Amino acid sequence: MLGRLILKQYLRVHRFDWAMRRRFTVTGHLFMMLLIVAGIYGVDTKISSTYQLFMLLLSILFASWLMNRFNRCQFSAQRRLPRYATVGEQVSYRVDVTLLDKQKHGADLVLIEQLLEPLPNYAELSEFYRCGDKPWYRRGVSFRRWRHYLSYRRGAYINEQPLSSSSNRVLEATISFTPLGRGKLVFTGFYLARPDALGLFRRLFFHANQQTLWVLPKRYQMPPLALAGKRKYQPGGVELANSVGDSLEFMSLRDYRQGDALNHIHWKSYARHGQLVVKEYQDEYFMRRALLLDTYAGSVENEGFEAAVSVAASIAMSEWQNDALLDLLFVEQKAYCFTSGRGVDHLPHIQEVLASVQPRPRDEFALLHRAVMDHVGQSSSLVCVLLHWDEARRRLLEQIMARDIPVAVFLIHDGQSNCEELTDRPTHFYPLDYHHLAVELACL
Amino acid sequence: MTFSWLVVFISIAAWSWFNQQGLAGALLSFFIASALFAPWRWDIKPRQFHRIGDLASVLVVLLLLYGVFAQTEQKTVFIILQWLPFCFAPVLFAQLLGVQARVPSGILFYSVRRRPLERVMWLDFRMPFAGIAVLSAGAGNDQSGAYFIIVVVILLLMLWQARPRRDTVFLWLLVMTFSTLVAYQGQLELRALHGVIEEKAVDWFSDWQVDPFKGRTSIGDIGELKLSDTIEYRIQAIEPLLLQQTSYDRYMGQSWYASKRRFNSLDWKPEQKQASLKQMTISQLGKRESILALPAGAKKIEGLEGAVLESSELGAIKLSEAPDFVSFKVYYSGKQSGNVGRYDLDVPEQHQAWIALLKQTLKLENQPDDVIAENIVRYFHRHYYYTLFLGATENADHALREFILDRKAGHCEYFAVASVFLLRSYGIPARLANGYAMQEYDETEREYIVRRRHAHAWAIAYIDGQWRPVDATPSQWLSIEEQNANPLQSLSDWFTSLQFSYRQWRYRQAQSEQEDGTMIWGGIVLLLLIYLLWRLYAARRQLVSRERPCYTSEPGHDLLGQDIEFYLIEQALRNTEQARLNNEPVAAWVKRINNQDLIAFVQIYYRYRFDPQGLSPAKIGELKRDIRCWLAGLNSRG
Repeated sequence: MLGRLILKQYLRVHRFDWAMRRRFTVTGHLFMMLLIVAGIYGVDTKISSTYQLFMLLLSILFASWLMNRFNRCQFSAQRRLPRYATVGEQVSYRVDVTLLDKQKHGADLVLIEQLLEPLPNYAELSEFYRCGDKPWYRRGVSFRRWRHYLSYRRGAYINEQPLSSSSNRVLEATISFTPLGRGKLVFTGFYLARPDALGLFRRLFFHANQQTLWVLPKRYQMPPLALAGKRKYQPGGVELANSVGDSLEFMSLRDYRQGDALNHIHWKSYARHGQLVVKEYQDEYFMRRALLLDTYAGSVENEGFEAAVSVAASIAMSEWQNDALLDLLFVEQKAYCFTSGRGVDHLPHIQEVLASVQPRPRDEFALLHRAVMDHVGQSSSLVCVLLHWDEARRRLLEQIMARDIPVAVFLIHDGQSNCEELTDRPTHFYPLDYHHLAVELACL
Repeated sequence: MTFSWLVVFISIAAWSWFNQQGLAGALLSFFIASALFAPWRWDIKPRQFHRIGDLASVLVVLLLLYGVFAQTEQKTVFIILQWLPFCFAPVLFAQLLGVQARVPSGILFYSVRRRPLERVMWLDFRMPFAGIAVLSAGAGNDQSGAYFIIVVVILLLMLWQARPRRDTVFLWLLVMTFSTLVAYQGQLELRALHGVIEEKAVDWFSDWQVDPFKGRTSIGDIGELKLSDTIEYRIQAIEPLLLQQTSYDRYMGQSWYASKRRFNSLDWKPEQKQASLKQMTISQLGKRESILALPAGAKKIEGLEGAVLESSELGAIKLSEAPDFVSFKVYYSGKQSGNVGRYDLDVPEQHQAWIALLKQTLKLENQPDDVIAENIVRYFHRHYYYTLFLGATENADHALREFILDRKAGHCEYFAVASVFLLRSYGIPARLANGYAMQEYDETEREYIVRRRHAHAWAIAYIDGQWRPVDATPSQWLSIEEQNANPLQSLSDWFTSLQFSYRQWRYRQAQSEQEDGTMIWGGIVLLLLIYLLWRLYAARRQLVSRERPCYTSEPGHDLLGQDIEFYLIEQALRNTEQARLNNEPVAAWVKRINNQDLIAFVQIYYRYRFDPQGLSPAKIGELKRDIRCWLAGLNSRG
């Protein structure tokens, strides 16, 4: 209850701050600050004459505000957004603004992009900052943290962009920004800011135009994994081997057995003999790799989790170049498995999935354990991106290795722990310090 | 010189003129002009900008400390206001001498310093500096109208530059004229309003403060008298006395007034030799204006030379423009002279009845004046009691009558007012006086302590050509008030003593160091200047010529290969499946995406960058052309 009340006040302050930033020009801000200071110093009109400055500023600001009330502008805008962006890499796109009214506009129109700001609740914030683990006096969510979380969820900060002056009614702006986090960036619309005749206040005109941009995790160059593994029979067969691998080849006819696919029935033989006969094809064998992503962040910093996702994305991209299937396994609300490669799915889709993965507050590794064990029969090898090295994870790997399936482990750490001392390490064990991820992945 | 610099120079001129700091203004303008025409600029890093912002903050803090510790007549906040342009001058010089020609917002706002470089907002500090200078000019307190005119001119110049160019100049001028006229009338009204509020505020908030013109007594108030233990004065004197602040001669509408309201500059004539006078030293915490509490017959004051002293005809002495602590020596004769006024014998009609009754009891007709006064005092001491209970009647006249005839108990104002009326009824000119009684002696400090609860009222009667005190309040009033003192008085005394001692120390420091203070401050400034010059000398490697365009946002060509637009290919493929990965070598990248054109480009590009033989200009031109063609092809496809 108290938390909700506090967040409500934070929101009010945040909105006030937003309005103050957007509704004044730079000169307007200067005048407002001078007004406040002149007002404070001018309280006693017998000591200083700043009250005269105060009155003049007040009068000018009032006139400006009044003129701003009559500020008008009608426009439509179109954004030419790319489909994908990458965390930390600059994105540029163009916006075409068409002015629909017949008013005169100078070079003072400014375009402000509006991104969706999902408002968190108190429990979400406490969970994000792990307030429960902190001493009682640090459990509260401060305004600074609240705003930090808001900007993290927003995903990017886009500067105001002045529109180029043009004689015709179509203006153009090229906007560049750097996404701060992966995920879906939702653009809700544009504000067009137009200053009043004195240049102190700005009136904002909104044009709704919702679009999304997928911000993919960072990917790093890494050498191909030299992981031994044999090709395995894939029950999916033809559908999973339509591009490369052993081709579809007829072998013989045999009697129908329960469970055979209907489209394998040889209808001509059935018509001739009255008994169900099915066509037999050569079995399909190819490489299939499982990629396991540990989503339990626990005590690991957010930066560590992002590094794990980046490593998974880099592996996915590296594997894409091999003629193998890749199963991405992770736990969110439930255990998920996404398969790609060999024409089954596109790489960008897997990257989109990885862009959406969120850390879990509870360790649900048992769920992932079950999913991996259900799946591992078809896999040639297993690649794990782990954030922890504990008993549950070691047990899973032991069970996998007992089945003679090669395993590679990428353990993300913060550089503080000594990975040499860890026990039961598989042959392919790669501790990665997330502060030097690019270098360490390149040097594998 | 640009328009903005012109505004800066005008605002500095206004600041130096109104604050009478011509030399400082000239120096500041000279340094700005020199820096403006100097051909060299420093490549200042964001962190160094922040340090410059810190320097401005430190200068403000130094001014604050100076205002607190130095004994000046000006209030600290106004010292800061007056010197604000000097505090912010380093920021302006950072813009002027930096290659960026602007300053990051973090230089002024600490909260945005942690922002990543691409989100840093760069400010043009010229207009804010002009605003600060014009604000600071207000510290000069010019009421002639010149300040208003200058402010109008500077703000108009600032707005002229910031105005959108779409609207007509006529409209802009019309709005500005209207705003200026409204502001002019508004500032006159504001000043008048302040006068009214100040007058009212005296009545509302300062019951305990002495108004030399109107004395509102507590007669007629209901409930208990509130007493405060706050120490008002510390006095070194040879005897306890009554310290009079002011006197009132006219009773009207249940209030006492001073009929002569004008204060004139104090002009004490040397009537007696100083040796024949008694003396006492009074220390008090100063206010902007206060009425001095002085012994009867004060002839001379030493130690208030810098302040303004004015006196009224009824004996009140006003102290103004004094520092926040004063310690002064008073020479006094103990005999208060003065003339009798036209209201000094007035007895209000509504009080004639009880006076007549009392006179029947006293039977003092045809007695000498001094005997009458003594008998009145004796009568009240014998038959009346002191109490802190204010009474139950709101009407002051009824309350006074009730005090005399029924209750026979009251606080000092009842006794004083009753005495005044009785004395007047016998034909003795009398007035109501108020001030403090010196009673509490501090053996440790060897001085009298006068608290706010020692505030007292008594009558003064004109007997034998002198105004003599006639204090009819029973003497137990001090012990009663002592009993009602705050149990935590010793603690609050300790705090007050501490405050007194600190201010006294500061006062003495200022007295003794007034002569060599300039030397100390000059030395500090010189040391700071030497340090600054040394830092500038140490940073000489970051000096670059102003003509060198290295501060533009365009990519520079300092690194070999940056003049070839190979990076455009990388930008074009960004966010596609062929994008270059973080830290991926260019050769590895083109090999991975398996683009033969790019592989060929990279081979030539690498030769250009790494081959000691280099490439011929023709080959470079060819490479550039090929890259452009490739990009054009890509754009036409996508």
